[in-house]
Amino acid sequence: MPNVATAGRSGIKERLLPLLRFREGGVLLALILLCLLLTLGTDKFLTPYNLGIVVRQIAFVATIALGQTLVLLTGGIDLSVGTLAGLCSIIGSLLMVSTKLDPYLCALLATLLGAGLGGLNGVLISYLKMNPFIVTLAAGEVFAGLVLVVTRGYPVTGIPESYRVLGQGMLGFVPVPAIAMLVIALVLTFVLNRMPYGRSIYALGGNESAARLAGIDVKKVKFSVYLLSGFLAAFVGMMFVSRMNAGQPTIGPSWLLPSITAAILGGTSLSGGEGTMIGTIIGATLMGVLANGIVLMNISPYWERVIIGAVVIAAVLIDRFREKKA
Amino acid sequence: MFLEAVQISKRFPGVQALSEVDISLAAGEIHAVVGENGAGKSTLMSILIGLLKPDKGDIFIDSKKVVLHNPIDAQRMGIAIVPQEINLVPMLSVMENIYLGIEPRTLGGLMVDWKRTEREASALLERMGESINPKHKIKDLPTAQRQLIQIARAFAFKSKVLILDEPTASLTIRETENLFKIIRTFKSQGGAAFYISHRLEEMKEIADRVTVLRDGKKVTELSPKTASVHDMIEKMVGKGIARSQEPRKYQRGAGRTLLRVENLTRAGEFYDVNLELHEGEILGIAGLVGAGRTELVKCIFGDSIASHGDIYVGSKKIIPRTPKVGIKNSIGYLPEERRRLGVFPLLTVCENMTLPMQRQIVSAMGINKRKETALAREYVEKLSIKTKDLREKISNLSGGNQQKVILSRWLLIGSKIVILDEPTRGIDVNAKAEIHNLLKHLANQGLGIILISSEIEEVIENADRILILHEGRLKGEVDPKQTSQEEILKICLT
Repeated sequence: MPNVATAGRSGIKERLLPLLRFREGGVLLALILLCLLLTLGTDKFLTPYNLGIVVRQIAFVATIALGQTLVLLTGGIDLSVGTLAGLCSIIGSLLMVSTKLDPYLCALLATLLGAGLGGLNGVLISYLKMNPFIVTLAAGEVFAGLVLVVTRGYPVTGIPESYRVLGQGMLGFVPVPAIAMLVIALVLTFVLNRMPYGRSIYALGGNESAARLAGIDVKKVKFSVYLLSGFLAAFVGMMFVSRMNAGQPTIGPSWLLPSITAAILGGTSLSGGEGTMIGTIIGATLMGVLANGIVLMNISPYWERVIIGAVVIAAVLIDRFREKKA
Repeated sequence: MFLEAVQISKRFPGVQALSEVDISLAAGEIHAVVGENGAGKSTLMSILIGLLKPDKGDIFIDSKKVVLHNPIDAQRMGIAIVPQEINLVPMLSVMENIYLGIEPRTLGGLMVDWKRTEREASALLERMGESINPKHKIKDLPTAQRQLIQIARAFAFKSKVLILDEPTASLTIRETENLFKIIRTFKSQGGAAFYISHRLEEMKEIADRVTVLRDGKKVTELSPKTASVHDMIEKMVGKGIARSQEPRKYQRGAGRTLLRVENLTRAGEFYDVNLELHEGEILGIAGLVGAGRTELVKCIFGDSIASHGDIYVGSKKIIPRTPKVGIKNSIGYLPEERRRLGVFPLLTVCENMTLPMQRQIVSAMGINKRKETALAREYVEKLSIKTKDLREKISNLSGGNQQKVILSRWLLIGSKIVILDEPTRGIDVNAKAEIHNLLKHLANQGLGIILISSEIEEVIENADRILILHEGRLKGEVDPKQTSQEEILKICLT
């Protein structure tokens, strides 16, 4: 008898909170409550100006986190995303400033460079069987160092006016980066749920040896997620150049941990095989709204990291209990 | 010392693992516990060492009731287990492993007295008749010696009762003899042991009593002096299992040749293997652990690469470098370790079935879920897989049903050659019979099936021809209708 498992005697709790049955449900509920709290507790939260800022901030971290989620799904990790984004944004900016090429072409080239660098990680991890933690940690250091070598710590200025749309533009009242994030998330969700490639990612993360025996080209899939992660990180780097009108040598590292945190908050398992794109976006949104809330509630911004850290521990703890019950 | 467990019952979700089992053990006795997988042996032993708590029933030691909360309690009472899976720290030395947690101390208990540890370890190993350097690391020792270290550890704890869980499963004949010698010495010094093994022929040699468990119940107690291996199997399997009466369609070896293997060799594992598999045939491969059976079929499927020799599917020569190549040439492989190599625990039943063939049901709109579900449902019915829902996680299914899901994976993609490596290990008696019936049914539909099993009886009962592999070489072919377990073992060993 299909689909009757939850009918009938299910408890009241389960009917009231169908959200909690989804892996992402708990965090989504927390997010809704937080938004409610901020709407009622402050008069600035629900203004278009404030939402614009929050959404834009979320979009950057979330888009990197989408790539990170792909890597985490295979049971790996990409610790180079932050500085890879930084390096590509610097190189893209330099291209714009020093050549007469169209700025969007420069952005595309820099993004492809990101894919190449991510692919390099992928080759080392997948084909040369190196440990992902070590490879991406070291690669991240290399990228960070290269940024300093190239810029000596100074920002790259003189970005063409025409390049502002990507980071600062609005489509109606929605910032362009948010739209980019949503489109990417939708495409990836489709790929993960409906394409053989997506299934292969879940299969690989769930049981690598079995995936190989089921005819999946495990190495190719593993390689590809690092490539995609690099691509997305570099793309975010280029969006940020547009947002700031400059190539900033210092931005990269601050994106790394949030990209992992967002994924974990959204229900992605660090051991692979479990997680969704929508979960990661919810996770990133929760972090963004929390940070915004701290400002709006006049709490010292120094508390932000304390609170987010505590929220992550709470989220994972709740997950543990739920797993035990299931 | 006299150990007695009375009316032990234990229930797990969905199964009564043990019901009202009585078992006892006297000093100087080796008491064998036999039964099919899932009969409750491991559960019973886990209760006796305090790893699980019984729902009902009591344990008495020297007529005094005891409650074992955990394995440390059991250890204090002198009960130790030598587990089937070796449980040592590979990077530490032999002596460190033997005395882990009970190292002799010096300086008022502050420091480990390594000199004494070494001396005592040497003495202990010597008493066991072993010349293993106590300073060698475990990872450098062969399996048989690791097993002995595990036993030495039980001795170091001054255990009076040992639980030996399949101690000979991966030992050669000579290593087994050596182990028996050690057990006998232990016995003559007043030690006692529960002995679990699938190798029923060992019972005559080592056991004083044999208790047979089936489906969580104690069926009978036999004396190995009078009971034959056949008697034991009969009691283990029980009556009333529906064996397929479906007549076989293909004459033995008469079908078209599906697979031909010529002089296949993988250095160090198997040499010059020649075999043919025909349409509608179940080809059994028998042999002891380490004979190279799994290695051979892995090379045919593409999970590892032969060093030389040729493989033909039909008349086409194939070079299977990866499993993908095997699958493309309509070979399916059901691997030996279901949990590690077969199932995707986080995916649904349906996804587990369709994974290798998903590219065939993909359109512009992605995987056609309706088609996928329909296909999966068809096979759930055909193989009578018991699942609440196709979208249920496969980990919620019983072992036998999981195995059927993996088998249907290959049927769905249209494999003509299906290799099954220990397909019924760890699944219960009835599911086992169902799988056997299924194999015959599939053979009647024209599939070629290779069946590997360590249970020689299983091969004899199900195969149309049996190849005997020993230490990497084919030792001959026998007709299952005219052979016996003894004969096959004899061919292996001569």
